[in-house]
Amino acid sequence: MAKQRTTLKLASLNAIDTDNLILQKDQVQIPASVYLKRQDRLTIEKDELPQPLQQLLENMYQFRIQWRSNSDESDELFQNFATKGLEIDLVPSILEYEQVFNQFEAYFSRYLPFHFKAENLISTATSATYHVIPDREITGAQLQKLITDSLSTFSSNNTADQIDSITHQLSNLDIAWSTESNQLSIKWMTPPHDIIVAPSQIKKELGLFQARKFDEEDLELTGLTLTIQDQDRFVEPSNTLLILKSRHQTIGNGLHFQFKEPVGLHPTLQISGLSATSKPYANCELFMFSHLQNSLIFDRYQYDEKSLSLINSWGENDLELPQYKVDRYGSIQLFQVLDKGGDLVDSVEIKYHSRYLAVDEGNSTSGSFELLTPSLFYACDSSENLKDAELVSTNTFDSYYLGYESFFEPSTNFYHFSNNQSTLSYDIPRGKAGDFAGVQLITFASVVLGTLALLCKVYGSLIANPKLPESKKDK
Amino acid sequence: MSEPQTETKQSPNPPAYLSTSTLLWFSLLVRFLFLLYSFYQDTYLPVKYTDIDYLVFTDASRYVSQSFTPYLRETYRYTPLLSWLLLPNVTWFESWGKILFVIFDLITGWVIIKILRLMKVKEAQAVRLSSIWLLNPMVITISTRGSSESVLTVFVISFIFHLIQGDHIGAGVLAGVAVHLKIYPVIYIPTCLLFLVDYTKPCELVCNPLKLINSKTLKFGLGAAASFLTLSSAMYYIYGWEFVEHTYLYHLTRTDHRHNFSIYNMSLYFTSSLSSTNSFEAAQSSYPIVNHLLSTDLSKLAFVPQLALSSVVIPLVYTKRSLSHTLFLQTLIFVSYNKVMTSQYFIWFLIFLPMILSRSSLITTMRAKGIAMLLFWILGQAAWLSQGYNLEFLGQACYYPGLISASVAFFASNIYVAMGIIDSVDGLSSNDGL
Repeated sequence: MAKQRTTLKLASLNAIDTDNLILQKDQVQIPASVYLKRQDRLTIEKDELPQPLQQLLENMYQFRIQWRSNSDESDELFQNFATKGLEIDLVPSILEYEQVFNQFEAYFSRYLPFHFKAENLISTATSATYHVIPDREITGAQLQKLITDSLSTFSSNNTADQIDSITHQLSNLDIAWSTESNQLSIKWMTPPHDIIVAPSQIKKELGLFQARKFDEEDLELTGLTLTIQDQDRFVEPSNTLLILKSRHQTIGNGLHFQFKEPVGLHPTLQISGLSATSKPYANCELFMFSHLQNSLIFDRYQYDEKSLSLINSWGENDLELPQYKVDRYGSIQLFQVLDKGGDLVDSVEIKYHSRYLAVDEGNSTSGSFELLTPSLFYACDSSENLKDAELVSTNTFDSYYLGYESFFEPSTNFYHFSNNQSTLSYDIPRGKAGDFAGVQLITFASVVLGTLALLCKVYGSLIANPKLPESKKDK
Repeated sequence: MSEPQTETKQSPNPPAYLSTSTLLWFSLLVRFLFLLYSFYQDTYLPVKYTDIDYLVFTDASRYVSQSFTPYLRETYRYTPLLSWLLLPNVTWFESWGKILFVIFDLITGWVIIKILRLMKVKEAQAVRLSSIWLLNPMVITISTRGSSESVLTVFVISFIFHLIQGDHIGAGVLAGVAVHLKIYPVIYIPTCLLFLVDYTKPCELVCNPLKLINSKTLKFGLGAAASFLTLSSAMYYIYGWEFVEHTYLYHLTRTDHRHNFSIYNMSLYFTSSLSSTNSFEAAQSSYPIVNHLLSTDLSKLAFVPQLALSSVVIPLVYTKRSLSHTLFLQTLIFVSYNKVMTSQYFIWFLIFLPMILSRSSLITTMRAKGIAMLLFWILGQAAWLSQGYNLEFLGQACYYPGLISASVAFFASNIYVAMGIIDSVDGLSSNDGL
């Protein structure tokens, strides 16, 4: 049976009282002022999904679609630490993967702002991956449509029979499928707004929690939970106390990203403030993960090896091709930031090369792009650092899965810089198609005139000296 | 005929500071200082001194040391021999290759001195002229930055030396090695054959090509074929088709869209982009003849004037008048018409400059013209470099008309220099064929 779990992070437990939490027989009303953040998770069994989606999942071992808006702030409770932008990770279960990828794109691009072909994806150690920074955010209406269609065989198409209306802007979205779980999971977060939870044909769980750090590693949730099974079963709220261990945590900020000026055709990204935050544990290592669009080249042979150790660079690594001749969306780099004599470096530089752009058919003389700055985090083996480390994976908000997490062992904990990712603009100059005639004429004329000038000179020389000198006698 | 004025004024016993051994030791010292500076700049300054190609060679050698093919290194497009030569970079000292390139570059200078002596240039003059190579900052910088051009120049200049000496087999063997290292010295083969054949008018050979066959040309040809085929077959046996593909075919089919000195560069970029994106319609002109030109891939025609001039016309007309002028001219023209041109290519014709200046009126009676040629060439290059700087370092879209105009200016300066050299051949006072 499909289930929806709604979790509200409260500013304070005192916010919940009879004035602002209205429990009626047929609905629960919660005003926006009560809570700070909301996360919803909808899980749908494969059998409940519409036939076309079921067929698609038959050929898909795992997939994950993660999207985060630029303004989305990571939260230790909700574990929304995915990379910014839209990342799609696919693991097909059949060899004809191109067909599966194209089917996947055809299905989900109806709802979400991406378009790709199989050849645009890159192969990483754990999946085929696509990443883009969409030029528009994903709306609640788009997600609503996806969910409505996904539940179409389970219930009527009447949204009211399914989930509460998603009318607000999303700040993140996480859709995941695996053959092992045999269910599609859709998670999203929205900013505070007045809520009415009404019974429907799917099971609904509602949790309202105040979260506080119990100690360095544990998060204590106190509040209440209630279940709305269906129209005949309304479970009374119960007080709840949970202690969670989080896979992802935030440890500090102070990072600063900028391009070295002038940017030119070799943008150099400077990252400073690395040493402002110390290691959470002695066995932790600092890593840097980045998605790079194909307008830029990461040169694996030319980077600061004294400060960085490249774990791998997946994807489009050709050092010469222009952008118009590469299919893959770009590349992914995973670095370890090195210690220098025990001290962490404070700043690192990564020099990229711009790919030549296709000449513009209009009047533009440059292409404008956004670089998503790398994500920096400490990765630590939790089994050495935490008591009851195995509880990390039982955290109901945990989602160790595809994406950068999958490059690390499941026992890994991540400690992120809070001001981790942003975007930096850069321009790459390009020619104009309208100049092509001039270029061809000038080139052609130069070669012809140069050749004629040389031939005339040689001819004149031949006329002036008709007879060659006698050969020098061999030694 | 009288000797050029510069030679007749030389003292038979030049001062010690003008001796060739002093020059060679001084050249070694200068290179050593450049190497020391390279270590400093690489360690402390953000802009590295070492050429990116040196890192490519070293990476390729690393692969070889691990029993892999050097072509695992992207952009390695050289003979595997080079990666073998630089194996100590990986196993011993990472600057070994630079030291090797410096040694080859000094040997090139030393062979230039020997050729000047064969040309009966007096010692002091030989020292002055060979310092054009040995003390040339461009030459020193290129080898100390780790560019491998000197490996090639030493074989090119050595086969010329053996050719002049009359060691036809030796010349052929060295020429074959040079062509194995890089394809372009193949343009010297017609020149060498013509040098070894007796004829009084070019049309004699055109009418009767069999005149090209004699014992000297056979020895030279067999030597060249033997060394080229032996080395290339060995490399093919070890590395297979990828050796042929990366070492030779890539250079024949290369259409580099990235900015460089070549006159064809902008045309290649626009054509490559418009054909890849099927956008030719956006570039249509209102003039049919222009549209015909737009649909023509000039890169496919680029070999025609390049090879016709550098491998046929120039050797036929000038080899018997002056071997050194011919070699210089054909290299300059080959480079000027090439689809890709970088500063390293200038080294290819610079090795012949001491020889042609040893008897050229460009430093005597035509000195003003010589200076004008040099200035025009430097200005043409400077014009291009300023546009290249605006594009590469400032990110300015100066493709049109900035960069194309600068390319035309530099191309014109190269043509002007070539024409000046032709004038100087016509004004040659000695006719010993060198």
